[in-house]
Amino acid sequence: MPIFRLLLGLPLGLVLVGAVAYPSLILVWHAFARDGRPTLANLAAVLHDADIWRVLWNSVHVSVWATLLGGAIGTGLAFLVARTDLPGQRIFRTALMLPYLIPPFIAALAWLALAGPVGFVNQLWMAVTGVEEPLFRIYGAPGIILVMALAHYPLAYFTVLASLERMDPALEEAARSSGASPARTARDVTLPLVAPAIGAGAILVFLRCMENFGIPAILGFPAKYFVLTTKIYATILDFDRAHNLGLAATLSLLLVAVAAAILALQRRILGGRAYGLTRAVGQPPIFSLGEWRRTVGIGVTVFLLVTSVAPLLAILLTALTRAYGMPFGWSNLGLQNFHTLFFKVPVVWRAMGNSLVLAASAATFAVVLAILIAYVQVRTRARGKGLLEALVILPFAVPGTVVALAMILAFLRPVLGLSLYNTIWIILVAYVARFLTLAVKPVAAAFTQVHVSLEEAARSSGASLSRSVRDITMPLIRSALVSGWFLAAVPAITELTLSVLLWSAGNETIGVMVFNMHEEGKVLLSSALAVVVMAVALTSNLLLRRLTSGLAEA
Amino acid sequence: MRQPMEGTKLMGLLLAGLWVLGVMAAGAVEVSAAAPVTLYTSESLDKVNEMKLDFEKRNPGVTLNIYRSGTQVVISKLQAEFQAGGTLADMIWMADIDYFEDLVRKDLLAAYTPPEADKAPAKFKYEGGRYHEVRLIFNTVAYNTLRVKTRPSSWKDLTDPQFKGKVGVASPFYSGAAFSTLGTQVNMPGFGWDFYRKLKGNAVIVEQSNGTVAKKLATGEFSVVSVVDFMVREAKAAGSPVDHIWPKEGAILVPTPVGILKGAKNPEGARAFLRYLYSTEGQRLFVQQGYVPVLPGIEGPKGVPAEKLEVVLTDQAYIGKHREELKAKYRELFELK
Amino acid sequence: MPAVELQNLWKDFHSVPAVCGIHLSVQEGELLALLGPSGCGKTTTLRTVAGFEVPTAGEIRIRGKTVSGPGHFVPPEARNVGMVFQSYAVWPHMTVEANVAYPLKLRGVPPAERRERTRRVLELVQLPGLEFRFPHQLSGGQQQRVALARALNMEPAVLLLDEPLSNLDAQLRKEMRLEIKALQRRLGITILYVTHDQEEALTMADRIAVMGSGVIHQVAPPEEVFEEPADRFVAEFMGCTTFLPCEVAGVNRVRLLLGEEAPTVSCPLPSGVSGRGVLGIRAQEAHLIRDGSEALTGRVTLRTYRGGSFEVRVQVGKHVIPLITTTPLREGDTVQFALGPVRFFPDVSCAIPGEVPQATVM
Repeated sequence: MPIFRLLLGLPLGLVLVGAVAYPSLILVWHAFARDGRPTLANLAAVLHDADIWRVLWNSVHVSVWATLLGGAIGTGLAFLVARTDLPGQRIFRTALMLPYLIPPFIAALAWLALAGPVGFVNQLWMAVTGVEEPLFRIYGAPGIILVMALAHYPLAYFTVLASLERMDPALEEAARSSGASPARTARDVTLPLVAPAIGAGAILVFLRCMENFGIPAILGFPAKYFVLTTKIYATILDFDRAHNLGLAATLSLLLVAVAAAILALQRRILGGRAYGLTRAVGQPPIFSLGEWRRTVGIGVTVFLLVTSVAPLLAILLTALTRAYGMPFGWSNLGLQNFHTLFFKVPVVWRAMGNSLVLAASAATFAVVLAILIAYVQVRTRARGKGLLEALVILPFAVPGTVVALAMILAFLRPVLGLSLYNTIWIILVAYVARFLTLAVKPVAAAFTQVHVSLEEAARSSGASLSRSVRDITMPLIRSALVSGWFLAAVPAITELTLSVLLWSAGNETIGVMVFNMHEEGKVLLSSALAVVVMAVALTSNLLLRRLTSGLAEA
Repeated sequence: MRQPMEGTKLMGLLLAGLWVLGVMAAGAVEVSAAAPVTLYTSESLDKVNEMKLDFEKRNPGVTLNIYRSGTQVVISKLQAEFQAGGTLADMIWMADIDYFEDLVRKDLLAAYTPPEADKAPAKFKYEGGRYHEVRLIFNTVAYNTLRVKTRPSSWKDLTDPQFKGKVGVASPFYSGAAFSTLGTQVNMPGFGWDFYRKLKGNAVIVEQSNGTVAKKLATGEFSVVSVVDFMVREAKAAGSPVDHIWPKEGAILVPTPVGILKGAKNPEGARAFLRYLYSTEGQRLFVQQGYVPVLPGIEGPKGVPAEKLEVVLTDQAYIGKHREELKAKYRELFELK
Repeated sequence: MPAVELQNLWKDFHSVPAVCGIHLSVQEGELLALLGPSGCGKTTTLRTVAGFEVPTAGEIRIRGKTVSGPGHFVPPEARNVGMVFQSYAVWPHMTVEANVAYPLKLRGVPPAERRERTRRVLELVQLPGLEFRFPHQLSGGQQQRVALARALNMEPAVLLLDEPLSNLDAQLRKEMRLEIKALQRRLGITILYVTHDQEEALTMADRIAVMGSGVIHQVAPPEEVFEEPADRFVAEFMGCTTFLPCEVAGVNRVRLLLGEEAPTVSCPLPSGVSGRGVLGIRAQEAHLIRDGSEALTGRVTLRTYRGGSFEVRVQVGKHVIPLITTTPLREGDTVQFALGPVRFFPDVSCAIPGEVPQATVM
């Protein structure tokens, strides 16, 4: 079937080569070349720059601490929810989703509104004590660590929770019968068994922290505190510096190398230790909190109120503030900022439109490609499936800043007569590359479930290949297509890292608008817009959850 | 796959429909405004958008697209685009006159002086109209009225030890205004790099943008700052506890010129926007936004004694020549190394 | 003194009763099988003995010591009951030796003795030399033995086995039955054994307690449970596949109600019964006869070969009765047969026996 193969291979090859392979190679080339000639000058410049080493150290420093903090919070909460008689379990299970649904840069802005130098906490502190020094400074490493940990702990929480819930309760009961107290059981059995999950969750948190741009950009710039992602960003924009793009490319490879090293380390440590825990039968044994039950319940509630609700309230209040710096009061509240935003800054509407169209288009392309990819992966014995998979995962596995730089380097000049730079298309290409793997996962899973015999039965009944695909395969994978579409679209709506480097006049995204307004010091407007983004993020995530949960039942 | 599917299917169809509509709408916009005027600027986002709305209302059929970021980011983008073979920008408008000089040397700016500019002072129609000062911005000393009891009078109040750790300035790497101020002050009698060393000794905090400086002044995070004048007036008008002074050594004029690039895709539209900026309506909008107008005869914003200002003009030639040196020294003094 | 004694044990889950006031005692050195279909409450009963469930009411005594009763609850780790789980629950992060030695470690047994005892118990379950393997390197049957060794190693007052063989393949299951039985005899340990497999219960148990819907229907030695099921529920569980409607027709005689035909057959009846009921029949016990006063006549509707014998379905009136025979009958043949030993169950015999106690919340 050469035509069939061509139909399948051509668009796939075009996209994967054009949007992934080519930009990646260009990035590597620029890291090791100057003025078109290969050289190690960029590498030497980077390695001899004490500043870079400090930035690298900063990246590792904040990520490690955020991982320890976030991992501890996530693991602790997972244990409380899955293994104890904590009151209000159901509410907590839902509430713990919340930080996961807020884009990290919005979380950073919210924390700024709550605990920034003039955030509500410090204002209150200064008003009450009369001291002129703020209680604490959120700019710099401590603030970045705190917000990163709180933005990413759900990853550890979900991983450990899943592991705890999959664990056979008999494993713990056997220890109890053997004579172990609850605490001893937790130490000797539960903890060692979920250790791989804790490790995996921690790695997830670490990688997300390493690649995060929004939090260190918002909380690091004012303190001149740079991490690798923000340094790459600053280097890209520093055209005064000779060979800045080459240096940024070299830094990107450095960042990718650190992430890869961590992943390799994880493989080595946890390689043989992922316990195939069977699905739980019966009820999970509950470690009774006893007389601490109430106290712990209140503690978790307060934790959630302080870490999830308070920052959101703070940014909402900021968005409703009329004049900055005036004492807080009803007279200083109003919808004025929203009014300015929607009626005086027309670009806001266009940015929102752009973000929605970009997200929808990227998701649609991604789903169409996902069908082809899943088909090749699951149904054919084509050579190079490993390469295909690598190309699909690569843009999501590396930090977004690196993807954006690769796009700039690849498309700054017209390629084959096509000029993508300064158009909305470069953002679209970047989104498709970045979020493709999110759409591929459910579609490939669906293809795996729809056994080939179902299609064969249709063929035996007299249907042509295309007819059997249309009548049998498509209806069976349709719900996977819908969820793949949403999985790719939802993060694209509030995307910042890629678009902040790729946007151009007329091609703004909503994330870029918030970021730029913040950069310009328009705190009230950026807060108001952040509230809008938050509403969009929450709504789209709830929609996604509804759709995918319906899917799970089907 | 039974009950929930119906809703899912419907939703899918709905979204697909929306998408098609969205793409069509986006396409339609592109067609109707075949060549929008594209402006690269470091002007305040909401203000320049306000101008865009007014301009488009008065010039039906012309669309103004804006790329707005910090001066250095905008220049970086322009540089990259020039290197790559051409920029999208028709016009540029930002606080780095040195860069305009550079563009003049490279012959990348188109000369155009609209008739509306007749009455404007000639010194603000630079290089035979290749670029223009369309309204005046000054860098001044501002203070938080709740935190500072005695009204400051001089730039040197920024080095007063009583404000240690409470002094803010904008970064010359990011803000053109800050860079102009740096280039001017290092040559002012009694100032020089020594003044900046004293600033550092006073634990000055270097923010990226003037906006951030103004915001933190309003909130009391800073007590005294070096900042552009209009932001302070704006904040004061909104009710924030801030005010600025005219330092006795003189406020520093921050050039924020606007010019049209050769090779603009919509030169006609670009010229129309420059005409608008010089027009009575444009100038009045500037005043409303808190700026000092460039045309005589337009009443300035409240509290600005336009004619009697002590003004220090920036020495562009010096700044142009010593650009890298200034930055390197500043970097050494304040930044990472 | 019984090893385990349950008195009026009652357990609700969210006010749905799972165990309804049962009484049961397990004697020292006895293997008592708790037999019943899934959801009958047998595992819940076992788990209350282990201490994983807190009874809603009632009392549990282990070797005379109350471990669960009104206002009193001994946690699992203090009960000294060994438990072998259906899923084995062998800890995957510990070696075989560490698994088996764990109870001893908790009891502060010195390392040398611990090693020695662990070695001995591994020999006992025929796993010598595997001390340093990890569970994922063992087969299912071996993991089963590790779980057994771990429970034995603590020398429990009673060993609780929760469907321990249900995850093994048929051949291994048969071997393990005998092995566990032999072990129990040799060591003289007390075992409470939960299973839904009647064959397993019959071959292994000293006594069987048949449970259904939270109550115990009968507690008796295997032969008695098999030969003289206390009620229709037990009979069904013990392989009576067919129940024919009948009525009492005199002393030890019942009349079958098969439509037009109404033959009477002899059947042991408790004194004083009357009225209608059902007769329980096993296919293995029904047999062809030439003639006789109690012969039934019917037509063969289906014949299947089962290796060495045939199972035929015989239509009598509206009812179909299965029987097993070596005679090569053909479908359509008219045959005469006897039902063999039959058991009469009055209509009420499926009601819950015993009184419903007052549920008191502990």
